[in-house]
Amino acid sequence: MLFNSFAFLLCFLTISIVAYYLIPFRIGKNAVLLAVSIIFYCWTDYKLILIILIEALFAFLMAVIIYNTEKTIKTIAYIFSLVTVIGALIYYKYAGFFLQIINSGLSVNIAGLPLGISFYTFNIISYLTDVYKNETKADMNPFNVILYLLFFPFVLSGPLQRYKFMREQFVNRKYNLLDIANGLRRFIIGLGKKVLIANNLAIISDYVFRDLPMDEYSAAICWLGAISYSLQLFFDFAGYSDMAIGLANIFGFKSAENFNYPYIASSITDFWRRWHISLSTWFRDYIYIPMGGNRVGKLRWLFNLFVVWALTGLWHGAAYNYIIWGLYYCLILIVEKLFLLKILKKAYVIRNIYSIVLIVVGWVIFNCTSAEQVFVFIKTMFSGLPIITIEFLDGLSFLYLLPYLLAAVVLSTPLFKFVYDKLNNNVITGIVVDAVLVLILITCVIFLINSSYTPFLYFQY
Amino acid sequence: MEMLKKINKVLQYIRGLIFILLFVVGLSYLAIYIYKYKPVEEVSLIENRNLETFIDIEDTSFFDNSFQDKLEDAFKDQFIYRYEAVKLKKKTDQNIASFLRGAGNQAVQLNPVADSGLYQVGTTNYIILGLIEENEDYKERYLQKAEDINKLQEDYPDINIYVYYPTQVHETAFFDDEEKGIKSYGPMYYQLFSEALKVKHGRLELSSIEDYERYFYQQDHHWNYAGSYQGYLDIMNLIFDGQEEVLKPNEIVTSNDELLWQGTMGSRTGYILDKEPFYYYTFDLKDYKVYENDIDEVPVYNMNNVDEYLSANKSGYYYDILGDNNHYNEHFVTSYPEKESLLIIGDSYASAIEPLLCQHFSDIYFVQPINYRWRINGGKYFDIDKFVAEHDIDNILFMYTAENYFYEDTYDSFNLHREGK
Repeated sequence: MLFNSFAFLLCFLTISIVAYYLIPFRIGKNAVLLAVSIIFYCWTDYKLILIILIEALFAFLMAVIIYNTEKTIKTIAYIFSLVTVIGALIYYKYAGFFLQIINSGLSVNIAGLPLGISFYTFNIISYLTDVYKNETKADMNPFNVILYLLFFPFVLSGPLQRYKFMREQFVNRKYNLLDIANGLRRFIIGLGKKVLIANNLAIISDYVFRDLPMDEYSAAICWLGAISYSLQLFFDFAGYSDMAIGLANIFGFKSAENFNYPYIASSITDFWRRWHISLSTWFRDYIYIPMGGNRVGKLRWLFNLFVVWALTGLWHGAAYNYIIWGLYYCLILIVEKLFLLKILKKAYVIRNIYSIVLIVVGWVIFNCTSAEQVFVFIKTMFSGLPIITIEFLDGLSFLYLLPYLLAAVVLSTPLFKFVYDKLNNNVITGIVVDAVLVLILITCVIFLINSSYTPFLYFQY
Repeated sequence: MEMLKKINKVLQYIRGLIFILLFVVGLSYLAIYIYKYKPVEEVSLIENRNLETFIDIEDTSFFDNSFQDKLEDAFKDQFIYRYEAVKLKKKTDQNIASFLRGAGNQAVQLNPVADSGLYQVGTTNYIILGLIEENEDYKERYLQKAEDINKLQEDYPDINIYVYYPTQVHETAFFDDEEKGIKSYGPMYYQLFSEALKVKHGRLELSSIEDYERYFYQQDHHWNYAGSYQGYLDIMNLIFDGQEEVLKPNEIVTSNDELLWQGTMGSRTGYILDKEPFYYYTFDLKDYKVYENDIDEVPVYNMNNVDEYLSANKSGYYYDILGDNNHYNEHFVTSYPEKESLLIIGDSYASAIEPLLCQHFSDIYFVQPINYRWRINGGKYFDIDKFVAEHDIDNILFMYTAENYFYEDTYDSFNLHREGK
């Protein structure tokens, strides 16, 4: 079920909120959350719930074993559990890709990719690792582990959560009416980002990346497509994260932030501190630092970075372009850490231009479907000045979407948040904020209805 | 100061509570109203499809996902003010595009209409299809079609075969702009087709944008009263070479201001532009009978039901006015048994001129091959040899519009499928 579906907005969400707050006790509320999370997960394909439930119970048991054993057995149990959950991830998500690499001629017949498998697998790994390192206790209540993995706001697209942080809230969370209202407000903002901005920018980027023949590329159209895709991706994912965090707030949960205006980054290092923060910190804490981080020899450090970024690329999808995209960032980060960061520190404005250009190029690699397209696209982007003439604009079938693009550029800076916080903290201006949010919600509904309008293509008669 | 903070906090709580209630109660009420109280709308004539309803949900299952799919679709299809919302969205898109392009637009510039895939002619009310693109397959199909027709003439030397081509505006050079790389390949394809044809042929001549505006509806791809009458004159000239007296219209009738219409293009754009009056000629016609699909006698199409149609505000499709679109052949039995017969193989453009041609032939057979493939008998093709063998045919007139020559998915249905010929 998608957050931006009518089934979710009109039925699931409202029923969940009412049921949750009608139940008086925390245990009862957790039971409601578990029940609605199971329904939410089953909505797409009920059979897939079995896989996540089995993995949750497995994680619960292995955590208990790891927690209650010592040294060798503890380590064996830990390694066994990691191999098992990573094996499941590889089987479901990457088997086809790996078989294609080794050109085995074999094919796999996998029933379906369990929803959010990349996210809940990483959550399981973090839980088991934290237990192994005695940073948290093994939970003796399996329902807490299941709820941790299945909690519907986070299950599909994160943000990734640490078990310790979530468990604390399962057993001890406070409800504040202001937090609930702000959660709702944040949900609507996220919905607006997704439905009004990301979905519209997707029309531009799909046209440029998918429909436009490569021999019709020009610098202007390629930049327009690349920038649209960069903003689409940000508003799609950040919008979803806003909705997820807002929903969690509605049910009394808190979450760490997942995005912090990544497109104002002053370097690529800075960008990765601002983009998909929960994933970056996960890789830092569970891969990079355990491998020695940067406190090792230069070659080993380079190897550590290579592994982290190859895995980051692979995590995003089972395809070559994602791996190349990961390694592209690996290369830039190495150069930055070796000497460029020092230079960038003093290069105000230029450093932002440098960052955004490299980020946009990175998204081109991410989104192209072939090496040839990547090459031609990037070559065209830098083949001349992207001059936008009136004739160029007149010929655009998506001219009506340009205001969304401009809005996206403005909204990707902290300006909106600054104004929103100022207005929201005052009761009088806060009412204006609420009125605007209701308007955004209505506009989202109109956009969703519009997508169902399919006039008969009657012209060959 | 402390007091003010406290008051602010209390007020923020009240504001928060109102917002939560507004959200939860508002959405719940909306869901219940749409599900329970809103009158069910089962069919969308505009979209030519059955709408999803909550009644259908009773037969679904959560476990095969049919419940989930139908629930979502039912909410979308049954949403309150659905068409108004669509129109608002599309009109806003169009207004944004118009604003960005600036006012004072040249009359012949084509402006894309939001996400419809259609184009507005300047800032006028005229909406047209996209210009015909260059495509090797199109070229081959036109030439193949000419070859098929030539072959048919060779096989049936006693039958007079004619081709009439109702030119549409998107296949003219009116909008060509070399500097901007804008070009319709329609003229090129027609020239190829014309040069390859060995039978008598002609087309609707559009020499200027004004001709187009005179001959076509603003938001429908069909020709209007003036265009179809010009088509009738052209065909009469093609077949009779000035030897038969043509009909002259008595008067032009127009629907009143409250009975306006928009066609296919209107529905595809979400009816964002103004409607137009519906004009038609009246003629003195002798009676004829119409049989559909070889069997049923059906009411004769005439313009008497225009007002009824327009006031019912149905789908906005041409076939609602000029006849049902579901037949694959029609047989017109006229009041002139002594005259020759005519087989028309074509598309809906023929509908407007059939009543007029009925005054010049004994029988008119109108076949729409597209309907054989799409609507009838699971893909059965039209067999022209069988048809000619079973009917007494003196003349054959091919009259398709451009799309039906070059679109791959329907091309087969126009290929004559004459095995062994």
